[in-house]
Amino acid sequence: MHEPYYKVVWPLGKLTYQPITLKPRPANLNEITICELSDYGFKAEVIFPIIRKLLKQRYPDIKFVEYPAFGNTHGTQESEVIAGLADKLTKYGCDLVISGVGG
Amino acid sequence: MRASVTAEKAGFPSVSIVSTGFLGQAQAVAQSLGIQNLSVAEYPGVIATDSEDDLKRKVTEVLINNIIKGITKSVVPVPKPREPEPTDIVFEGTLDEIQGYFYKRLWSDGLPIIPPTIDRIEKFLKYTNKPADQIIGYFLPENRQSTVWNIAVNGVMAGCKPEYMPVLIAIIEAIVDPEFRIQDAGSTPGWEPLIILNGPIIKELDFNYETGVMRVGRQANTTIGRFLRLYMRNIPGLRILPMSTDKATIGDTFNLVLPENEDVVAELGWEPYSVSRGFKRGENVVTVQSVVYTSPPIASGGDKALDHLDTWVEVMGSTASHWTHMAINWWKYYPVIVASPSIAHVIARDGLTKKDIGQYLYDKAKVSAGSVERLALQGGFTWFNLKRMVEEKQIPSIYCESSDPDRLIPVFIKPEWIGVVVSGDPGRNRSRGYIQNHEQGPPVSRLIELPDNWNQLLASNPK
Repeated sequence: MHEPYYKVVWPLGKLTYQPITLKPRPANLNEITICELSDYGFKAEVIFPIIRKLLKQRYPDIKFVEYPAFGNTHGTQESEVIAGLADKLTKYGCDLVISGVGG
Repeated sequence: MRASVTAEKAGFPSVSIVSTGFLGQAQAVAQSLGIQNLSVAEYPGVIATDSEDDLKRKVTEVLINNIIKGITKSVVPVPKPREPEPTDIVFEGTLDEIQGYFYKRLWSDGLPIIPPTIDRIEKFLKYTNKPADQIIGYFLPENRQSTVWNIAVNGVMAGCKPEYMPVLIAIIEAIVDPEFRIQDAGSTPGWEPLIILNGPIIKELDFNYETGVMRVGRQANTTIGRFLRLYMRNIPGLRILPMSTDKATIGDTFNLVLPENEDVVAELGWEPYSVSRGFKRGENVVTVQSVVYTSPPIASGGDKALDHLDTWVEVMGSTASHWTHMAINWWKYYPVIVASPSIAHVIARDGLTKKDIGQYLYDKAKVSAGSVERLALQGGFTWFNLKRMVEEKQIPSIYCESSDPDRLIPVFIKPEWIGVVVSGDPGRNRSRGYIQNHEQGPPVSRLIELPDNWNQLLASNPK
């Protein structure tokens, strides 16, 4: 007996993002301003101060805008924090973002 | 990860700190937001179980170097992948070959699927006035478009009947609401959506609302529950390994549809659950919300309302108290108690309504503040401190009326957020609590829109 054949379609939906070309990373880390973003979880309050100290040792003129300046990126105010992020990063003269902690 | 992508889109280079177990998810989320090669700095291991000394050592010896590598790495643009059009035939084969083809591409849920052929899909499309290409919305984390067409495709695959289509559409309309936060359905607690159904459609489509209501066996309850989980894999893109956008640590299987026993509700003079959600009695309504775990089956006896309510306080209250820290943190909590009809009869006979039940549970269920803070701390919420949160006016003063860690605070957040649904075996005295996952998956309800010729279509179906 001949087994039936089925012609089937794709079960997914159209991808809607547009690929983003990333900007070049800073060539010299000295004298840059790093903005911290945090979800306030997974010992961010321990990890970020150590990172600041270690980067400062290697790059003495590096500057930090600490994560409380931006609000919780994964809290109840997430959408407001994300919506206002670009303006705040511009305001603080951000050269680079360190975001965490995913755990 | 979404914060880093937002920064990158605005032109600010970023590096994201991610622990080892989340590297796959981080890349997948970034990719679905348009960045194929986001800079990620790995923290080796599990942050929450490392000692303070281990944590400091790993940050100093490993993480800091990964951050610098991430900051300075060169970036290479990656083009968007080419994918099929919705109506393209992607494969032709036998039933077994189709199972293998779909499974290998992570398009099935591991159970056998019904082949999504054009003729089967078209049967589903007859049960809606909406055109097949109508866009229902867009789903994170994979950033895919939801359409009437792909709802029908996944409905076919899950084993649904064509006439379930209006329910399937309403479910997807509910979870696409940004309030629902479907993008967080891959979070580590591993929550599942629960579909609560009200209205005459319960009987029209032969849903079970009595004995074993949440047990597989009735086609409507079972396949629609499966459909939602399958859809979450295929459109939002929440998949377990090897893709790992779903990070449920242990997880649970999908819930079946929970219809309310509206005959009993009417006998008691109570409101159907959908009325508490803002709809009229007699309207067909789906409500979808998260369930992160359930209580034990609660056996309560006695001919007075308080006999049952006090048992609910004890069992559901203690069960729900293990999630109170999350509820307080996000200030959202929508647990549901499902009561079998015999218990609902006793409570209603003493003159209590569903609202009274919510108030009683809120007033009586308590947990020690020390326990809540300890669970928060262990769960990774290292900033969680009730005293500070009260001082900063994030939460009311009742959460810190003294510094005694044994002081009692409410298990629930608001009485009106406690749902009550009557369902299950009319011949037994059992209930079960469904514990909701705070801001992730709050209840969202949608009216089920029927096609103009609904009655005619139902009448023409083979029984």
